[in-house]
Amino acid sequence: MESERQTYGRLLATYLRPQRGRVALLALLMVGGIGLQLANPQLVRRFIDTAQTGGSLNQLLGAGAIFMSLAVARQLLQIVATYVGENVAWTATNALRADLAGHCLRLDMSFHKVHKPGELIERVDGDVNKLANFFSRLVIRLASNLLLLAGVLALLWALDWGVGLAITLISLAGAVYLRHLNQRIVPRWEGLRQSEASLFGHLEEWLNGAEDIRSNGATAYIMQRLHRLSRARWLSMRHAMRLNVFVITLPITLFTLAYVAAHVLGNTLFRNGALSIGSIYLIFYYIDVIKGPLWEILRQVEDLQRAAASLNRVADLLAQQPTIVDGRGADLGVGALAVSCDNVSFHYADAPEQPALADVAFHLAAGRVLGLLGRTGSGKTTLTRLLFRFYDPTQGAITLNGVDIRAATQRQLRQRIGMVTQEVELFHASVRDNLTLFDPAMPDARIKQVVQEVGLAEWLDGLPDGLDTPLAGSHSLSAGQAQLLAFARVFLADPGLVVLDEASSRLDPATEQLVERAMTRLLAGRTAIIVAHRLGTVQRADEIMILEQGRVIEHGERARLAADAGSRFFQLLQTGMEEAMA
Amino acid sequence: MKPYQYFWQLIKFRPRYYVTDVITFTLHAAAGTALGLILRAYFNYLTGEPGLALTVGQVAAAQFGYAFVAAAALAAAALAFINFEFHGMALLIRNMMARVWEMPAADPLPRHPDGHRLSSGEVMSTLRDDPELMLQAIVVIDDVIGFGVSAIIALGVMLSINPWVTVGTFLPLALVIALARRLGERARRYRQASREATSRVTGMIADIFNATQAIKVADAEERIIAHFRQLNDARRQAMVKDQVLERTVEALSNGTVDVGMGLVLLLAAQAMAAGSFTVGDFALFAAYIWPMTQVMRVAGTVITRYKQVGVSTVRLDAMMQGLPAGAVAAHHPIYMDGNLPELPYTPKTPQHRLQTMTVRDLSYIYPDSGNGIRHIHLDVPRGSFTVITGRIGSGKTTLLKALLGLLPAQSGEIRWNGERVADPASFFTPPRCAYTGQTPRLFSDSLRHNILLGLPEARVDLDGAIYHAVMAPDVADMEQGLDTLVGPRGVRLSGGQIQRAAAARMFVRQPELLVFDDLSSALDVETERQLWERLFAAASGAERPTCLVVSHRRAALRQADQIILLQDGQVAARGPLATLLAQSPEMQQLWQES
Repeated sequence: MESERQTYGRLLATYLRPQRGRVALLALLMVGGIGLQLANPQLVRRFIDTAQTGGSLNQLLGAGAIFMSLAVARQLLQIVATYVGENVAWTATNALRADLAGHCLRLDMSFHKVHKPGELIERVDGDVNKLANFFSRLVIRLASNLLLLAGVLALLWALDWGVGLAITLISLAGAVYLRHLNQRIVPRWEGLRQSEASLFGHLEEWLNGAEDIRSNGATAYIMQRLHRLSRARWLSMRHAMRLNVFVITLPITLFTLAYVAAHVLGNTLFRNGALSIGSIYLIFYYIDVIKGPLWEILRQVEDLQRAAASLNRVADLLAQQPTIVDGRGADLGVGALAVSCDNVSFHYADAPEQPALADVAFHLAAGRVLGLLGRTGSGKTTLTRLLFRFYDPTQGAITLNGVDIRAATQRQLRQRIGMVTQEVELFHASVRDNLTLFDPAMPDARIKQVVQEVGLAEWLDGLPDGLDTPLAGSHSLSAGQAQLLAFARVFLADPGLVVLDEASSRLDPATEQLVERAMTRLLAGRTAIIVAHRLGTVQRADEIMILEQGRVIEHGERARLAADAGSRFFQLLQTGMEEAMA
Repeated sequence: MKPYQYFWQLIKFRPRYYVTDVITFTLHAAAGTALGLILRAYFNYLTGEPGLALTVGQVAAAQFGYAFVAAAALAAAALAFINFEFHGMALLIRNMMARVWEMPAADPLPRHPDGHRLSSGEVMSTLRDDPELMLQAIVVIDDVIGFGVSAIIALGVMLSINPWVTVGTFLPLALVIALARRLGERARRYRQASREATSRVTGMIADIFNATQAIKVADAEERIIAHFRQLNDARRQAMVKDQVLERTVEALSNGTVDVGMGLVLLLAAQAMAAGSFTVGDFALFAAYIWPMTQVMRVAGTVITRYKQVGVSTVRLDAMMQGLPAGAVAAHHPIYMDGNLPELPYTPKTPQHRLQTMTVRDLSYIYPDSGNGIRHIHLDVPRGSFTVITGRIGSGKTTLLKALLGLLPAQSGEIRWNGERVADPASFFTPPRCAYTGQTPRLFSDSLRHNILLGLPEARVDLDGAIYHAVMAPDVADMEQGLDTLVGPRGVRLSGGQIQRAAAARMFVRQPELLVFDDLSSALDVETERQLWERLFAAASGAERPTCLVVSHRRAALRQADQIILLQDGQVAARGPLATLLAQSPEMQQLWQES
């Protein structure tokens, strides 16, 4: 409970401090509203007592007119407060959204292996939406409602201590009971949020896998899973609501108690002449005044509970730390990078007894091209992941130009290495942003030159708004064009080491030719590691390295290995040659 | 179709929950009118003025009676409403997803009015938010009925006490409704703008987390987030407008009622001074201000809410692509309790047997680019191995997709054993046909369920399928074997494992016709060799499967009974490899490059 409150406090401090002025203005508007709300009933008491004691009509009309103007003023204050409050809320939650998205991006790939994009949408947007309430209405309104409650109680105590005590006790009893309910209901709201995240996470996956589902005749199966998830969502809501009805009916109980107390005490106080009839009426009026806030406090506490569930999940997410720790920073030099693997061993955290890499050692001089071969699962992809520090070796070290990559920052490292993977991810953004990955500083001339170099110039010329044309999903690019675009990205980043992971596997020969030409330019003056399953792709390699079950089983000059009848590479070439001659 | 028609459809879907909700909520609201009467009786008792008077004991009893009825009714209404709401949301989501499966699977999502194809992220915001907005708009109707009934009771009581003061209180009502009506159209526009800004944000989040590795590799985290902040800020502006307008309408109705209370004071002044309006009467009028506030708040918001929900109905309808408006709320079973539907399983029978498949004049042109395939003829006899090859962009994948109905062919005729296939998309499914695309997708589930996808395990040869897909050693290596969870989109498996899992998924269905697109692209030489070997071994057996594949690999081309060479979407040449190599320069070139 305590730590939860600390989390609330920390988030509030972080995201509201930059808007101190606006928050203060909001508080001012709220306090002004409360003042008006406390003052108005006094006018009614005066009105009744004046009427009962036979005051003049003008006095009565005057009280009525003031009442009306204050009512109008209060509504105006509320509209202004909404404007300020919404701005505060969205500014704060937008900052949180961006921070959260950035934080998730910085987390290890092992995190992204287990969290679906749909689930992260739920977390980064859905949970934060629930928090939007928390930032605007909730905290400030809750405070102002509590202030209003305190004001009313103080006025009731001033009127008569018995009445003040009774209403205070009833309010306290309500608060204690509510707190008790809260503690039991939060886990239920959390359960609801989880079942919703699961439902929407699956929906997103299915939308992207429609071809696989249709063509395997699996729609009935998927619909059955949908029914299951929808049912789970409803049941978790019902589970929460069954407890929540006690929360929403609490005001009725509290008011009945307060009214009965006022009836009994009011009767005595009026009979013994302690209070005027107008003052008796004022007791009921003030109870009515706190009716609104009490309802609202309850609603807000309900929101707060929902927000608490979201908040816990957001805090959980923020508390996840990347296990890859940035190095202190080291200069990796300019130009092509020399790569060394120093007895590197590695296993994934979820499979500790299954080494993905074992004692891998090699040196690749600057400017050389290494062809990396091996079966699926032999460790090729793992090795490239280690190069980018998606994971750190369990033993040994990788150095670039003699510098341990763990000494450099990830930024320094990734600015010096580029990668092209088989799967090219596109953004719903302009062609320019897709090419530069949102780098507005990249000059158009440079972009166009690179587009020319990779052979996409014709395609770009055909676009209506050139670089500003929005790329709407992967529909507007063929797989080959997407591949070329990925090449352009690496060209623009101008790294000293390029990793090509199965880059050409989806290209047909003609486009591969186009890519080969671009690649020749790209590799000039750079070191390269080409991961490929096909022999044709490694023809440009200076050296060949073959992995098997995480171990280097062969490494040497391509020309030498190709000529050595005893080498594994020679045998692979034979398979290829045999194929070619049949 | 108007929103109320959707409301009516949804109400008819679960009438019992809805009627329970309306009745209990109305009871709850009507019970509230007792409070004013109790208070009046109490003040009459205190001041000794004429009219119904109750002693303190009687007043307390009446007060407790009210509390019991009001609380019980409210609890019942809340439970009935969430039942109604969650069943209705389940129906809307079910219908939208069911429609997705009816669309050409290569292109299942609707278009935005501006013409771009919606991304899954954008569609997610429709699936997530619009059903909820729709169902929550219906709750406003309950409020109207409940508060309406209590308002009529209150109005009757007030009129019997003093018609003049009563009319003075109700005058502002007309004003509120008129104002709210004027603001309604604007509220709809603001809502649409804010929903679109929201879609752009969720779409961007989806993009970001689908491309995490690419972003990390390019060190683009900060730049992406900067772009994301811009989209967020546009959304803030739209949202603030939307919310302020809604609050203004609400404050307007509440505020007008406050003014109405002021009017009561002004109007009652004379009568009170004259003694014809008692303190008890005044207490009653004041007590009825609260339910009246609710009525007017609801009256004010109901119109704006109704217009806002119009935006949701348009978005929901868009998901039903081509069906008449309102189909999204059509009634279907949603299995919220009891047994889930039996999964249909069609065992292969002689009637599924393929003798020959012919394709005539098949064309599909992409509307955006004008590329595609034109006038394709194709004959696939039983047991044959047909390879489609050609350069990138020559239309190989498009041909497969148009043939299988994953894209809607614009012309052409497909015959299966001489009989015309009317709806390829539902015809070319197991056990007749199965397909694996270039980048197969797996789903968050166990490997076993990803391969079976609902097939009864006892009736199919799962081990055989895994063997043929060259996946057995991988499965043996996994600690949990087939129960290994593959993670979202299968990310816990390697690219090659995903492809082979997809192959196993296809093989386990034992289709008459196997269609696959560049199946071996992520496989290494050795694994690929085994895969082809096992496939061809099966092909030479008694029950040869018929294969239609896209490939430019020599191993495949050499095995082919016929090769279809595509060039710019048309068949450039066809025949066995030797013939094509002898006659087609294009083929010679491709062969040399491969």
